[in-house]
Amino acid sequence: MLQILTIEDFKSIEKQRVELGQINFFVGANGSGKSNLLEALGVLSAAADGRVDDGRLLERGVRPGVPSLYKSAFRASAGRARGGSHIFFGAESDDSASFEVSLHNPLKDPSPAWRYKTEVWKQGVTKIVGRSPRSRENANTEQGLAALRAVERTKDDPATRLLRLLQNYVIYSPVTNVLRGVAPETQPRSPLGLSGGLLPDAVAAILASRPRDEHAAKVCAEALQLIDWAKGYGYAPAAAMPLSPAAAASPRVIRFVDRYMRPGRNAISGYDASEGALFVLFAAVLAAHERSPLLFAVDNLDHGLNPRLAKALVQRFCGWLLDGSTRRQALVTTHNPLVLDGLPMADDRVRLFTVARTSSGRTAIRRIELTEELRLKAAEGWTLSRLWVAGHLGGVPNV
Amino acid sequence: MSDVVRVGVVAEGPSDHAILEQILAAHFGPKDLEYTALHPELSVAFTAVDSDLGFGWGGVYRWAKQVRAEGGGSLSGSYVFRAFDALVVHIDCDVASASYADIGVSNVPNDLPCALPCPPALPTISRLEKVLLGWLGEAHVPKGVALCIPAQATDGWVLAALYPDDPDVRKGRTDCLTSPHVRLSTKPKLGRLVSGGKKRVEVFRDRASEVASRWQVVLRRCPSAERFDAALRKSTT
Repeated sequence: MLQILTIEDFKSIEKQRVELGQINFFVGANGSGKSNLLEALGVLSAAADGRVDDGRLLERGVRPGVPSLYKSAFRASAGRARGGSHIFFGAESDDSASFEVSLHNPLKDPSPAWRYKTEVWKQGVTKIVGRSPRSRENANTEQGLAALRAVERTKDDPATRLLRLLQNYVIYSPVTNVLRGVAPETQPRSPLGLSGGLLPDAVAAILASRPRDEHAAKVCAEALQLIDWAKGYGYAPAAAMPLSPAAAASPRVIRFVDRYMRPGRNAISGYDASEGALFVLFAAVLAAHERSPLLFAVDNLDHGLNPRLAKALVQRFCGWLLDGSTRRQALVTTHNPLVLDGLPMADDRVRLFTVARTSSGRTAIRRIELTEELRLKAAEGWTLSRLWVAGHLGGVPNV
Repeated sequence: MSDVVRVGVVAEGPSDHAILEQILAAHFGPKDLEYTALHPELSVAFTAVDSDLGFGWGGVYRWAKQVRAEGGGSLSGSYVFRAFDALVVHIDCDVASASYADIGVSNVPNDLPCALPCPPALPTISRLEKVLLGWLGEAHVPKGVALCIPAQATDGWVLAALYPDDPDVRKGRTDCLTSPHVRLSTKPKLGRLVSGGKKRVEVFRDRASEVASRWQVVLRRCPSAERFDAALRKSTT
C-alpha cells in the first residue's frame, strides 16, 4: 500500500508530505489543490511507467500541462527560496519500498516528454535504480529506468509491487452522461473508463461474479439497498429497453426495475434512471470488480448525489474497500459536507484531509484526526459535516 | 391537508425509522405519505467511537434541545413544527430505566429514571411522555405531534407482529419484555432481524411492511402500540 506521498514544486503544491491510509478523503475549497494532489500522483504513475508525456498523462486522467503550468511559480519570500527548476514526487510503501523522481522540462521550447533528472527506486536501503544528472545511464533521459528494470525482475517483492501499484494508478472523474451511455468515453479502459464509460459491461461482470465471489455478492446487494426506488438491477441489450431514439445508446445498457411500477412497465434504462443510481453502481464496480485498480482516485465521487445518499454511499464504499480480500486504496475528493458524516474514521485506515491555500497561495494538506476535542463536540450534538461547514476543520473558502 | 401527508419523524435509530415509515404509511392511507427522517443526524466517525452519541435516546434528547432553543423555548415555536403536517417523536420505553449520566449530560431535571414496575407498561409510558415533553419545552402534546414510546422498544412491536407464536407475545407480555432485540436474535435464520448482537437494518426494511400489515395484531398484544395509535389519530384530527 502507498503510505507516504511527497510532492514538491508541482502547481500549487510547493512541498507536501501526505501520510495516506487505505481510504483517503480530501475536502477543500475550489482551487485549493485537491485535484493537483491527485494529478501529482498521476505524474508519478507515468514516471513509474517509464515516460511522462501528454498521452501517458491523459490515459491516467491527468490534465496535461506545459512546464510553465506544472512547475510552481511562487515568488521567493522570507524563509523560502524560489521554486526549483524541476518537479519532484516520491512514494513510500508500507513495506519499505520507495520510488522517487525529479522531472525537468524547459519552460521555453518544452519537449513533448519530461526528462528524468533523478530517479531512485529502492527496497529498504538497497538501491535498485539510482539516476542523477551525472549518471552514465542518462543516454535517454525521457525513458524511466525503473520501468525498464522492472521488466527484468521476476520476483514479486515489495519494490516491484510498489512500482506496479503506481503504474496502474488512474483518476476517475465520473460524468453523468457517460455513465448513462449517451456521451462517448474519452479514456476507455477496463473495467471502467475514466469518465465512467463501459459501466453496463462492468456491472454485468460483477453481477456474474457473485456465485464465486462472496464480496462481490455483498457489494451488489448493498448497492441495491442504496437505490431506494429500485427493486433490482442488471443489464440488457439496448434494443430490448424502452429507449428514446434520441439516446445514443451503447449496445448494452443498465436495466433497473422500478419498485413502484407494475410488471411489464417497470424496466428503466441507465439513460432514464437517476444519476444517483449510476454513481452508486460506479462505486460498486470500483470496489468489487476483479480488475479494478489497486490504487485509484475519484475526483468528486458525490457529483449529483443528494447529501444523504452521498453519506450512505461513502459509508458503504468504505466498508466495501475495507472488507474486500483484495486491498484497494482510494483517494477521493468531495464537496459534499455529508460525505464526512459517512466516514468511519475511528478506523485508522480511513483518513480525512483538508486542503487549503495559504495566504501566499501554497497548498496546505492537513489530516483531521478524531481528537478528544472533536469527540466532545460530537457529544454536544455536532456532526463532522457541520463542523466543516462552520469552518472548524478548515478547508472552506473565505468568500 | 393535501393528498400527500408530510410527516417528520425523530427516532432513536434507522431500524426504528424503517418500521415507523411503514406503520405511518398504513395509518395515513389512502393518502400518500412523504416521510422525512429528521433524526438521527450523525457522523459515523463518532458513532464508531461511542454508539450512544448519535443513535439512541441521547441523540433524540440533543435534537429536542436544539429544536427547543431554535423555537424560543418550545418545539411549537420552531420552524420544524410548522414545516410538517405531523411530527412523530420516538424514544423507547426502556429509557425510563436510564439516567442522564448515561449520555454524559448534566444540569438536567431530576426526572430520570422514572420506571415503574411492569406490568402494567402504561404508567411508565405516561411518566416518560412527561419527560419527553419537558425536553421539547411543552406542557402538553401540541396539535400535530404524536409521541411514540414503544415498550420496551420498537423491537417489541416487531416481535409481536412477526412472531405471534412467541410465548411472551401469546401471553400478552411483550410490552414488559426487556431487551426484545435479544429475543429477535433467537428467531429462525431466514428473515432474522438481529444477528451477532447487531440490528440488520436492511432486514428491518425488508420486513417493515409485514409489521405494518399486522398492525392490528400488534394493537391487540401491545398496549403501548394502542397508545401510539390513539396519539397518532388525535394528532391529525
